[in-house]
Amino acid sequence: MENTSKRIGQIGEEIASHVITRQGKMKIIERNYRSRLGEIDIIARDQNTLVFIEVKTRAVLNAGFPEESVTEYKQNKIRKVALYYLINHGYNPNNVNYRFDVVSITFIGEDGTRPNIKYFKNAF
Amino acid sequence: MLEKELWEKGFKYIGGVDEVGRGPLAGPLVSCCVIFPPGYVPLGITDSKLLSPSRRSYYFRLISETALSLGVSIVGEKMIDCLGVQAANIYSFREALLRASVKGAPDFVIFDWLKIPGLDIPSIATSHAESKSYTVAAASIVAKVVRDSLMENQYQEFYPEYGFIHNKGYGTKLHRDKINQIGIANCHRRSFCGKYLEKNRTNW
Repeated sequence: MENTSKRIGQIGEEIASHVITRQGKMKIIERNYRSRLGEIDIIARDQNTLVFIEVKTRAVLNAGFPEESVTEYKQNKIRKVALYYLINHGYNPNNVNYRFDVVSITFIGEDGTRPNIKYFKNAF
Repeated sequence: MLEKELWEKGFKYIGGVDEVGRGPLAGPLVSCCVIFPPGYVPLGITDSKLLSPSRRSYYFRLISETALSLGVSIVGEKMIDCLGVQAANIYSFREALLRASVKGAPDFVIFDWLKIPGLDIPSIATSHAESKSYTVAAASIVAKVVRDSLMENQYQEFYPEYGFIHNKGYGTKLHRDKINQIGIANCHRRSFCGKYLEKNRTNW
């Protein structure tokens, strides 16, 4: 079971990276950034703005929409990791532009294989 | 001394950066960046740990009168808890350097021990930089005086129980005994006081 949800998450991140780079405006810098404070799914650059992206994938909707699971606690955690990333990668957090996006992916269709993607720019 | 070599290489405005307060259980981390006028050699300045408090405050005045530029950054205990000392230290070094920066200066930076990523000025980081460079020694004196004064005045006033006037937040016997007795307060670094956290939660 745990393996399945992990797989779904990976597939979701794969889809999200496609969506992000497809328009050609954003470039992915790092995927699955891990630090002692936590993880960030995708870090990208949109011109002069750094974008920290959280990808949420759900195969079944009985637990609510994926974007609803990015709670305030989770948001604060991502903010902390982002700050940690900025400091450790040579940015000055006070004069760099950054934002937080959320990508929510659910699977629809009769056999549940068609991904439904929602992109929340500046989600929090 | 490092400065002499750097002057010979053609660098003029050398910035020295040092921090005080990586280790204590309470209080902020203070970093300072000093830039002296080119060719200036301050007399008698050495590592802040080798000087008495009265000598330090004498040199503090001397440095603030002679330095071309000075930058101080104070990073509170909450930020240290949130990010860990290492990241907090990188942040405060950068902040101090930014505050000391004026047009064209510094053109070279000496850090004590910790290298800062992503700078556009050439820099080095050496251990025991206080004894190798006047500028870093001066920065260590300023940072020490600023932090000590903070602990002795403001922190002592708000948290008189812990004897910050004597221990400056460091984990001396008296300080640890006090924490054991009455628990930790808001000014303590949670991430440093894991041992004392279970006890006496009422105080925070």
